[in-house]
Amino acid sequence: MASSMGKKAKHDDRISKLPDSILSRVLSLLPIKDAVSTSILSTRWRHLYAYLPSLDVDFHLLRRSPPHTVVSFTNFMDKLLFLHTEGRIEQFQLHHTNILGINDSDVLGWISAPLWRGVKEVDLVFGRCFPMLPTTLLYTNSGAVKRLLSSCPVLEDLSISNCDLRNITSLEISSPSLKSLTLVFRCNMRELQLFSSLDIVIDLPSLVYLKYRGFRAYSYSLGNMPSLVTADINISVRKSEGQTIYRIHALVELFEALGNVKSLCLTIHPEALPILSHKRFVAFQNLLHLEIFDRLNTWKGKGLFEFLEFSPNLQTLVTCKVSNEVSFPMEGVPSCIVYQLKEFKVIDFDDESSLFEMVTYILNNAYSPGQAHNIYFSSIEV
Amino acid sequence: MASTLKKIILKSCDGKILEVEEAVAVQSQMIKNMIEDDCANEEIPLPDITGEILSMIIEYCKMHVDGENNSNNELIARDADFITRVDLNTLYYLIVAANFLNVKSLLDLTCQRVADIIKGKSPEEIRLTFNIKNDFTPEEEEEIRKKNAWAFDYKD
Repeated sequence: MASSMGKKAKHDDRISKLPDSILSRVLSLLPIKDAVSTSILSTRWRHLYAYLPSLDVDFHLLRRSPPHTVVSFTNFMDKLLFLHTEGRIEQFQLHHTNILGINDSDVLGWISAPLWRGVKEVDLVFGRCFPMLPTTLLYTNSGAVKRLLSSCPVLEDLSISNCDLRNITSLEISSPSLKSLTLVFRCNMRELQLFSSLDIVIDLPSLVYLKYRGFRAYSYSLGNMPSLVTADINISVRKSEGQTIYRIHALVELFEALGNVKSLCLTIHPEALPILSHKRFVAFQNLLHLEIFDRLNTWKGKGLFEFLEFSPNLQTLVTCKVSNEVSFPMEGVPSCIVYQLKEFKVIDFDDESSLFEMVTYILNNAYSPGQAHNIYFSSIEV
Repeated sequence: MASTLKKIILKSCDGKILEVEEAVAVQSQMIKNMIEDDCANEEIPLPDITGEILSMIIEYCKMHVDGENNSNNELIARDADFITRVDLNTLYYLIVAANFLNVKSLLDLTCQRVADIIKGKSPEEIRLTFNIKNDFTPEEEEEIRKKNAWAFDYKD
């Protein structure tokens, strides 16, 4: 290169005249050490490294470094991630964090900072078990999640929002320690395509709380979750395709895994509930609190009573809209209405007469007078 | 049919006129936007790009359009061949032009080239290569070295 250099270039420093955006781009293509050492070239280069759009930090560079070097690295990372917060970090990678002199709380902070700055890709490769993790991971990719989980045996809370499903056919989350899992997916047409072939594999024996918002996947393989107390499930399906799109088997797989919950908030397509009810797949023996809504706000309560039959111990029922299309079973009244139901709450009701009918039905069938003593209504008027 | 044969006329800062097929010209996001906005029917003046650099960029874009069906490895090899023939002076002007015209793949290639040249060199070697003048006082330089000692800790 040097030999082909024109004479002019010998006299003219052109590279320093490039705009900041280009120079930071160049620096982000370098190992972090090379990038930072350019700060000594000249005043023009002094602060450029603080605005790198992509950070790839391999702790390997500190191997066999003396303690004062590790301290200066720690200070550098703190400043870079916590003080220079104007720039946007697109990519963040940390490799091999097992370096003497760097403690877990430092690393935790370095992971959290880019996450809060909306980093799109996080790839964390830990050199050892890592005891703590941030409670919310935003915009991660699933390969990274898997690696992250497998090196974090005491992780308790994981939230993945807007996970990019491209090139993923199987989303696997497995952890012996995880107690709370939130999976929120985008619900657009592209995601619908991706979900139609997606297998969701969850092996979380300690899970207490599960939130799922997304399309119905191709299959669910949810291992035993004996501790699960609360589930918030919001499943989208495309209305126009009718009943056949449910792949009822997949929904049954999902609901069977929820058998132990005490509290269930279910938002589902109006057609899905009657189908599920006919399957008589499962009984929610522990279910005390049920909130049931329909995604499109067109549900007329069909399948509700059938569903209540699976919930013999239900004490609280929250629902939206009760219409005159609801048929009240005169025989075989769900036993929770007879013996257990204490609270009934309707949100956004639109038909007073059918609501009255519903309340009368509940009160008439309650075994002891005054059992269903809390009845609330609220209408959302626009 | 007419649209595929449509030519875009580009004018360099030193007055050179180049006719480019639309398929090649739209490798530049800037020109693509102009075509979409119906602003590319007359010659497009490019104030900071010389005829020599513009010809090189068109050569590069053509190579990518013609090589669309080639394997990825072949394209990488051609890119490497293209960029290693370029001296530092030209590299600078290519970056400025690729940035202005918004030819993403060329901007990636040229930035990567600069990074490859910097990689593994000591600050003094980098200064020599690019003719960067060290305008720090010795005290300032010492302060920077101290602040990020980990980055200047060379194990020779």
